[in-house]
Amino acid sequence: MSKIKYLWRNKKTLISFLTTILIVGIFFFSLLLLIFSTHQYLVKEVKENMGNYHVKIETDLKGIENVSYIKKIKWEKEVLITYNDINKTYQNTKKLCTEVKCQNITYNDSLLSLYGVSKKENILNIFKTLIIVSFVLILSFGFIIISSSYNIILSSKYKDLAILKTIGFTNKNILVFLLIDNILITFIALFLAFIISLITTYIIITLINHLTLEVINLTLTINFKFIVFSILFILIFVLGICLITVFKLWHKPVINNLKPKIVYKKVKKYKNIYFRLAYFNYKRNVKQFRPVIISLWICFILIGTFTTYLDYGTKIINHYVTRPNYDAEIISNNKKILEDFLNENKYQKKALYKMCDMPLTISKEYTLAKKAKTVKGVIIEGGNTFVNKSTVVKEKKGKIVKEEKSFYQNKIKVLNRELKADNHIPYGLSLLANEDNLIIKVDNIESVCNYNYVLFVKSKDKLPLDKLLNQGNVIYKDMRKANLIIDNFILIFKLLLMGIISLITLIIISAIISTVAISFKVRKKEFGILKALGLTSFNPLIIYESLIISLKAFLYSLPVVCFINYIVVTALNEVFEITLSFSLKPLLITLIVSIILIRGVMQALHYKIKKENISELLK
Amino acid sequence: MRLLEIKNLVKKYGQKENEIKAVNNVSFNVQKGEFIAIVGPSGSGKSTLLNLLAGLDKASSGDIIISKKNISNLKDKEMTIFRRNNIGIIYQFYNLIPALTVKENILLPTLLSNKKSENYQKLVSKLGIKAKEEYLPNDLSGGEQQRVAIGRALINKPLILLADEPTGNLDSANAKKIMDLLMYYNKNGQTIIMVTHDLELAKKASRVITFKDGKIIKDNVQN
Ligand SMILES: Nc1ncnc2c1ncn2[C@@H]1O[C@H](COP(=O)(O)OP(=O)(O)OP(=O)(O)O)[C@@H](O)[C@H]1O
Ligand SMILES: [Mg+2]
Repeated sequence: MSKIKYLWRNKKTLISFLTTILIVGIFFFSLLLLIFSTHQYLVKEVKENMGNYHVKIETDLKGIENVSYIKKIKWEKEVLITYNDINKTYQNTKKLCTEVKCQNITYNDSLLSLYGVSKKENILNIFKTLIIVSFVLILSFGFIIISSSYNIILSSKYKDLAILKTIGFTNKNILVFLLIDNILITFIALFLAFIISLITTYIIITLINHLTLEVINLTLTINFKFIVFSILFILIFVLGICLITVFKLWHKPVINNLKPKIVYKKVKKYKNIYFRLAYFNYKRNVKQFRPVIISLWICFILIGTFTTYLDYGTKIINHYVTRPNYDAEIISNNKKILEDFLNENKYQKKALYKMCDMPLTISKEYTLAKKAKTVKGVIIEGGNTFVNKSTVVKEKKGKIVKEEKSFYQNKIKVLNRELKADNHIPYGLSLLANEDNLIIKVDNIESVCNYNYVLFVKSKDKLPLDKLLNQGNVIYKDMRKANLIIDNFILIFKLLLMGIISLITLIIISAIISTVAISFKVRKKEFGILKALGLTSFNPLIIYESLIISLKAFLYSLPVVCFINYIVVTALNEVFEITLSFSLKPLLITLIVSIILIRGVMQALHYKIKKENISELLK
Repeated sequence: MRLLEIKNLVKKYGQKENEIKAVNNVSFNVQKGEFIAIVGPSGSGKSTLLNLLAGLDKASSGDIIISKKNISNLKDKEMTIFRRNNIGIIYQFYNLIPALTVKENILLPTLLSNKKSENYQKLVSKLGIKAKEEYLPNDLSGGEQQRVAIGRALINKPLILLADEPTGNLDSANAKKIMDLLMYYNKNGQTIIMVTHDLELAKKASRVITFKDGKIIKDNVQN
């Protein structure tokens, strides 16, 4: 009981320590859960689409049922084998084939890749790397943040511990005393984190399923591996932190801590006095500020990396995937149906064409290749022009590139008409504008072909397409779903980023609170002196301090962000032609936000100092 | 010329039964150029009075009028500005800013009030800390630190210099040096109010006010 009272006395530091462990735990557990759930989903998909087996062998073997390492055999034309242990697929197959005669061994590479077993290059191999990298990253970041914020707690207890010792506590007593509360706090926090992650991951998964319109269908998976990883994680942290405590305690004689510990570090003599004071305050508490700076640093790196991904991702989508710029395409021979449809809604964009298509041959004098060319003509009413521009996506030296190309002279003669080149692609037809299609506008389309009416619309609201079903002679394509899924993928990415950032923000805030709480006494006095000397506002000091912290984290993150950016570009460049681009804007925005945030928290914390009488501060 | 007028000054601490009057209805005047020593037993309210005069704390009732300005009604910011232009303070534990050098500590009040620092050179050579201008406070002895504090208190040429046991933390040799310096500045026209436990030092002041239980029990002008 008295122990809990003792812990509670350092309320601010205790709460901030709990929050830090809690958030790192949430990060870790949620990430694991997400990865395992995605993994489970992919395994299910692969089994459904590629077959549920490890290896396929053409053989006439007999007695294969009795082999102990085989879990399941399916006799089809070939033998489909599932082993007990997927990791030993290659070994077991080799062993098997020494006993019986094997022909045409085909491994189920997609499935094997998902378990990191496949020897073949496969994009799914990424999974294992992904798990390991995230695991190591979170573990190391988490450990740095937690242990340095634990340091803060410890340093605030030094004096108490020294007093305990002078009244007869042995080192062992003190150690037990400390360990109990470490284990208690860490355990409570991680347990809470576990529960919260289950809930958040469930929400994230539901959101992903919902946003991808069930194209992706994840289910929350809690498997054996997850539980093992989690227990390992908890043990590492509890043990690690205990070890730190033990080390610190034995490292220094406890009696040393009875003396008031104020570090006087010499700092460079900057001209600006406020800056100097702020810098000095920062220097003096550099250890305590470490968790703040590290979390901020991670925040910068994450934002830099995510925005890089997002940037290149959207670039690739926009460049290589021609997205429909309409939500629905409706074809009918009955103009009235379409006109009624048009009147029913308000549309952001719309175009109604008389349209038909037919094969066309362009004679060689009109082509740039000096060769006659047969294409599909996409013909709409009005104008006597044609679109002499196409996008060509092709492989060039192993890279996918996109080019704009012309294939014809500026004037061509076709369908007994002279047509002039006009590179404006009519609304709705951009998907068609490629090498194999020639978009043509003609007058008197009825003299050319049997046309239909085609309507392209884009709308913010849901389109009443269901109604058209009953009206016969209407075909429609709903593009909204496809568009939505692409947009939502980007949205999911942004939401995840936002979630991570808000968690980090919490870490930063709690770290600042504990840092300031620890150095509060010294600060109080110093601010008191300054006020007695006639300083009217502490704001410049606080602003400089937040500036120093934010800038430091920002500068340290830059090389890392650049490096990651470089790696991403190099990897993407294997497949796509993409140029290195680096946008400082999101990082600068983060910098400004973090300065404002830190300043705000600090100011709130110093509110008490402002209110108090100076004579009180100087005591 | 009357520089400071204190009328019916009261400072209460605590509530109801626990209420104590640390300063209990105190009135006195101070003429320009006086050197007043305030003495009295511990807990008699000397520091409380000094804090009220410096505007570091608010009185419960009564008035403090410094060169015709009633500072009891000033708002926090107005008081701060008034203090930095008109009042110098010296503490028992120096209260220098550890991040700043000797020179910067002394010049800090001028920076805060955007004033020129014409008398800096004169001050440091008189205080005997010229050689240590670039030192940080932590590298100085107690006596030196207190001399820096005097420099800082006088740099803006305040109307009144307030000192709360300026020699309380020093040995007698250093205490004498500090006292000599204070007397030197007093000779040059500086009004000083100093709280002290050292009756020998108090004898050197031009007037001694004795406190007990928050009240003045004796007010002696010496020669
Ligand atoms: N913030 C406070 N809250 C409550 N009581 C206070 C406070 N500050 C001072 N006191 C009380 O006011 C009285 C006067 O205190 P003060 O510090 O002025 O005495 P002092 O004469 O300076 O004593 P010393 O010579 O020991 O410095 C004391 O009884 C003290 O307990
Ligand atoms: Mg006192």
